[in-house]
Amino acid sequence: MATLSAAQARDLARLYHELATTLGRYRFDNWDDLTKARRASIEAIERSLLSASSDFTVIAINLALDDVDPVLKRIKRVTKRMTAAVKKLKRTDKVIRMAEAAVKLTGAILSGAPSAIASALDEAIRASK
Amino acid sequence: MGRWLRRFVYTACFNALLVGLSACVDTSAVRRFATVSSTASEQFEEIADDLPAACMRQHRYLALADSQITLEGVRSRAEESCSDYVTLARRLNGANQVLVSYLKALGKLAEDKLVVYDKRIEDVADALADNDMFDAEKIGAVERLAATLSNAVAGEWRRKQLKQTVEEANPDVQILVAALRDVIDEDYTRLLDVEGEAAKHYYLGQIKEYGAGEPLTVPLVFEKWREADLAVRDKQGAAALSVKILDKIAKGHQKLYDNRDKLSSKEVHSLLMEYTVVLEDLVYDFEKLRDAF
Repeated sequence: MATLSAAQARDLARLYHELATTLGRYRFDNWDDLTKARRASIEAIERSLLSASSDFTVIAINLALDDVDPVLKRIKRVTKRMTAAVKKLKRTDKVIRMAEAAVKLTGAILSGAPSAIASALDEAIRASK
Repeated sequence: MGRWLRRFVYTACFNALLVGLSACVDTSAVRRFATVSSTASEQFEEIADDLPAACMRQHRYLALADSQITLEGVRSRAEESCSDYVTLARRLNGANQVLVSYLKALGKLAEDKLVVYDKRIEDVADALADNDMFDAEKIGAVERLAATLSNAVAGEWRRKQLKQTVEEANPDVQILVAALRDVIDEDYTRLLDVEGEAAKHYYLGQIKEYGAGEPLTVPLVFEKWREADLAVRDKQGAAALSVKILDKIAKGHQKLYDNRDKLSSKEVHSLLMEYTVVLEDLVYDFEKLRDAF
């Protein structure tokens, strides 16, 4: 059996909706000329057509989602890699902070100022934690 | 202090200066675009959740128009007819969440501090040039230079990651956004049309059937019909905005892809800011229609 595509399901949903609308317009425009039984049968067809339209809509969306399934998997993979990259960046930031502290400590030692050395040492210890 | 140590520090600082100057990376516009896009994409959830609700409303009208059915029957018939939509909404939200997560991750990756090249770097260069022993001021300069170098190196790495990500993801992002856009523009909009038609089917049917015998009830039924129609129109307005939002996200991401080799350029910055501002306006307009859901 041939399978339906999302576009075909959408076409059917549109077609059923248009048919229901046309029938509804006909029923209301000719209300007094139609017998009660005739109106009831047209109304029942309208209901079926509107229901069928929303049934084909749900099929269309599901088929469209089936189509993008491999795309979703690939985007998830890229997102996972980006998240890992951001984590790596955070780790890099830690290394950078340690490097900065080391430079500061070097500078403090070169200056020979005890207070600067003490402060830089504290910072270096904090950065390495 | 040993001469070798001073020479080591000087060399390191000059290298830092050179690398830093060549790697000014500002991806703040990418970050802002991605962040606003992810916020905008989250609004899709309102629409996905309204799909089963729209189906239920439609089937309630259709069941109510059927004089053979009881009120309990109206509810159960609507629920039965729309059970597939409940599953579908979860699936759609899942697909949209993939887009939101991607955009959020892109925003985080682009989150950097602008590397500032100002007079401080020149001060350091001068300080190193005069070959004096370090004093407190120069120590500060060395610190700042180290920070500049760090940011520049991290920024450069980040820029490469962004380029690679945008390059790889763009075709799939375009397909996914187009699919979500079609669901709103075609399927959801038609479902709302069908709901409107079902409301007309019920209310106008009541007026035609019983209006002549109970003329006083006609304005009340008309009012109910008008309210139902307005609710549908508001939702259609929100759907139209959502389509515009997705279009902007797709076009903005395409621009990112087209300019992936110069993501931190001024040209890309201003281009993305245009998209971001329009997206912010669309999100604001959508918020005003949120009560429709």
